[in-house]
Amino acid sequence: MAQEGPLLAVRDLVVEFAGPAGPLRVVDGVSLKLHPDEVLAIVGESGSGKSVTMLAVMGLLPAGARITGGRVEFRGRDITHLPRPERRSLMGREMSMIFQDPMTSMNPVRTIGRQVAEMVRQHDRTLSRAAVRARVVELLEMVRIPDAAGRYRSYPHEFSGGMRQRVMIAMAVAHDPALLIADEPTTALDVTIQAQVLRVLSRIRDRSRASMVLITHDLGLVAEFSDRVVVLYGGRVMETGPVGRIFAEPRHPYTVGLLASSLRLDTPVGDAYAIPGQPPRPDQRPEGCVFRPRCGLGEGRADCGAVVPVPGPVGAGHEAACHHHDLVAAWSAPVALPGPAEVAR
Amino acid sequence: MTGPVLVVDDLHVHFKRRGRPQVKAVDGVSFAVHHGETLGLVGESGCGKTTLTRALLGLVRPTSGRVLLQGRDVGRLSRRGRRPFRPAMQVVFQDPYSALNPRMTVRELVGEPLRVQGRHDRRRVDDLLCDVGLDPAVGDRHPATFSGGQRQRIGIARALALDPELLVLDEPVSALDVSVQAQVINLLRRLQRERGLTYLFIAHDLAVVRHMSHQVAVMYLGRIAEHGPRDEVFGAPRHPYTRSLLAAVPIADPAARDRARDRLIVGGDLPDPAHPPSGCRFRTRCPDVRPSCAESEPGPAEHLFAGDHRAACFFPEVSP
Repeated sequence: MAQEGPLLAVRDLVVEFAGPAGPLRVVDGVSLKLHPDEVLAIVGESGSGKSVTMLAVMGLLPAGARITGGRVEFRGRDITHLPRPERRSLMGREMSMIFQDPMTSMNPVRTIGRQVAEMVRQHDRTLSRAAVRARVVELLEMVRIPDAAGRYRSYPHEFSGGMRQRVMIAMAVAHDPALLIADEPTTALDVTIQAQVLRVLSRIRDRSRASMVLITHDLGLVAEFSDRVVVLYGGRVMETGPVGRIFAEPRHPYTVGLLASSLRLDTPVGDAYAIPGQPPRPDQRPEGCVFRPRCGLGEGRADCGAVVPVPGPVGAGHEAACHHHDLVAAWSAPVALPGPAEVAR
Repeated sequence: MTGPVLVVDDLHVHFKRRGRPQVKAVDGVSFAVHHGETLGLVGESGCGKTTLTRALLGLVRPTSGRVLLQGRDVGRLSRRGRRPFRPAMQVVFQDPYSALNPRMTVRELVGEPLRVQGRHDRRRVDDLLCDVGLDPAVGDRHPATFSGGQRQRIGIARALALDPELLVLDEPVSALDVSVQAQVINLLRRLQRERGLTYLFIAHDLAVVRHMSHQVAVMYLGRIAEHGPRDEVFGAPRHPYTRSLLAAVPIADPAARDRARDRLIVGGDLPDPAHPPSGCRFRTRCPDVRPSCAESEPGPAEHLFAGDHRAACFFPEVSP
């Protein structure tokens, strides 16, 4: 896979938002790679920069935000500042994005069929009306919309949340893009509906072999769906590695804390480990390591407060941005993985 | 303390709609919450848990049934009539951003319930802030200057001000980040241990409910599908709906992927609450449905298992 080269490479990306007291660095030097036929999970809490990184990749940054450093490469080509027409020919055909809330990404006064048809025609103007319609019905069937032909004339509000999200997926894969970016695709859905949508998504991926970036805060989804994981915190990459290693042998104190503090159905009931403190606001990031104020390992160490750690190798395909990554295993033992440390009653 | 702190007895909340069939959002729900315990109420959107919560708080009037708070029926009282009972039951809301008046300082917010009851005392407010892990020095700041987790601590301090017997916790951690969720869960567990509080914990996240609750009730389309001790409901779920819910939760363990691939997934969407299916409400999505399920509706304790574990199902699985 390595000789094939990555499908997507983000190098030292910096994204700044205009703020009242000067620019805010929401993404602060993020690098990541996505290989063909791979699912990469980007994990982080609110404000970690996980969504903004991918919006920058798609060229969809909101007004007031801009890329001020680094580059984005797709199939080896620099697409950081792509002019609009070229960007448009890429979108939908080569890369697509699935958002959290389908209700806000759909036009409420147009029928479902018409919206999917628009997507189908976008990159193929030669299709006849009948061919477009047939393709729309085929796409809706692929995402398991019952009675797809009969539902062609339905409006988004007549669909349930799970069905709307499946229609979004149908639109995203209409042209078999090589890259799918799913930003919290099931966060707004109930858990039984989430399971349905995820099954549809993984069937489609099995068929199309598209690469996927899955942005999520749900470690369960990460474990079930991804091949590799990037852990973001405070706009920087804390740790990257194969999913098995990230869960079994995390080498960054933040990853350790995140895994230990997430409540699960299969760990003992009791007080959970909790990372102390609060995530930093982008205008109040500390000197040195951005995680230091909440880090049990870095407490009192001078280098953590002075020098920004860069991601370095800690194993095969595994990197951690921690000055003391060699101490993490010993330090995390009492924090206890996978179960919470303190089992009450 | 004798008797349960809260009893909900055959509660119905029906919404009449002009020219359209009424919606029975809560359609015969009964449960009891005992002193010092947590009852976790789980269900997906449309199951009626929000309407049930609103009925308990007196924000919507029940169509029929009783709500007994420490033995006294408050269900049919007006908001004014409820006032003397209010100190006994307080609520913590989901969204700490909209539940706190942004113009008030932390000290005013936490002290307000005391002031309303004519019992204001600055020392008590400082003690409350300490109890929830906030430095009293922040008392003069406004909620906007706090993060979500800290705001939820303010909401909890305010709810505790009148020394309630019962706290209704309505999705108290679902708006918070994972690392902060654990802090608030631990805080709620500690406060319960120290003060002998009784909790009604409403949430959609099964793992969170499992970590908080002693008893668990699972709601589906206005009714309780299954109710029992936490380890029974999670360890040996009897109702097919509970089993489907548990099976749908992603497992945070890459080594368990094969289990995830083979999981049972219920099809379809929640039926329209205005037109619930005949017979058992879950039958249209049930993996174990049989023809007779359409004929009559199972009672809430159709099958009763050891430990007062109840399933509203004609054919509950005996082995998990």
